[in-house]
Amino acid sequence: MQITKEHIKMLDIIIKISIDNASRAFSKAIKHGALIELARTELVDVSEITEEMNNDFREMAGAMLQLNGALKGKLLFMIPFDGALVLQDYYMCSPQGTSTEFNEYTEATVQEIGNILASSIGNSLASDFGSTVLPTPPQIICDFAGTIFSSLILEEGMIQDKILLIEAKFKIYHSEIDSYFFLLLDIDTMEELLSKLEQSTRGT
Amino acid sequence: MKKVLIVDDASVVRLLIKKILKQSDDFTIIGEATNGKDALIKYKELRPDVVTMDMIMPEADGIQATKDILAFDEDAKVVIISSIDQKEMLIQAINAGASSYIVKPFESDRVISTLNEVLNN
Repeated sequence: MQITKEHIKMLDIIIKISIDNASRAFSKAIKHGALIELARTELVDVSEITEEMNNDFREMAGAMLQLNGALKGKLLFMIPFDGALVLQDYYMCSPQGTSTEFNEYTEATVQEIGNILASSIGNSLASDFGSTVLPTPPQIICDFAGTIFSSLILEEGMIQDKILLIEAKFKIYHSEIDSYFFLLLDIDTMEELLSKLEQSTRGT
Repeated sequence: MKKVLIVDDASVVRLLIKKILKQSDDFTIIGEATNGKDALIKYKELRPDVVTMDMIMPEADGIQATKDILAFDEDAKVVIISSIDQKEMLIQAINAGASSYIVKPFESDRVISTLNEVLNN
């Protein structure tokens, strides 16, 4: 099966709904409004996207998880250090500015937000397809944006030239923080999902 | 005061649950565990009245830990607190012997009322 523009369009819609659910869960977790923007759902060239990310020299904290079950994939939630401190205060319901140093609680906040986002996407996909999609415990990486991103695509980059990448940005209201969200779907399980979708579309 | 054991691999969630339970005079936190294996060890050692249990954790997950605790003490009360909201996993949790299930992100009131319900039943 070849991934066509139509497939990408279908996937884009499913992912938009899933990420919208994740965004609501994210807002509830931090008890603060957060806006989601889906930046792209496309097949991208591994070398090009790696180069693009390598040009971002900010230090960030990333939570990386695997999705297992009916749909396999990897998910990365990445936020600059200063943003992670703001997130920690929101999550812990502390006045803004309470957290001043990146510590184990900041790390655990990023870990938990990654977990909530991944679960929320898994819950949404599982409900749409009547199956189970479960995340693994998050792995936390603190490094430059490009280095963290490279860990996400390392295995896939060795096997294929192009990857299906979903990129989104979260904006937290009243805070100038952008956080990044990447979803890398396993091509085999995604093909199964797309063929199920095609069948159900033909049936209607 | 009812004794609570908090099991979650994220320190910030353990801290948040502690903060919530401290608002109530009904509970005292007697211990914390960061994975399913540690949960069973702490349960045997501390004998809490109720356990709050995360689902996705390293070592042994929350479902396995619930089974292990119930195998040791069939009267144990375990409340799963997880961001997984999928039918199959809810069934697995109930089959494992969990007394209740709270979906993250949670409200403070929901945590307190669920623990009270489980303990009063």
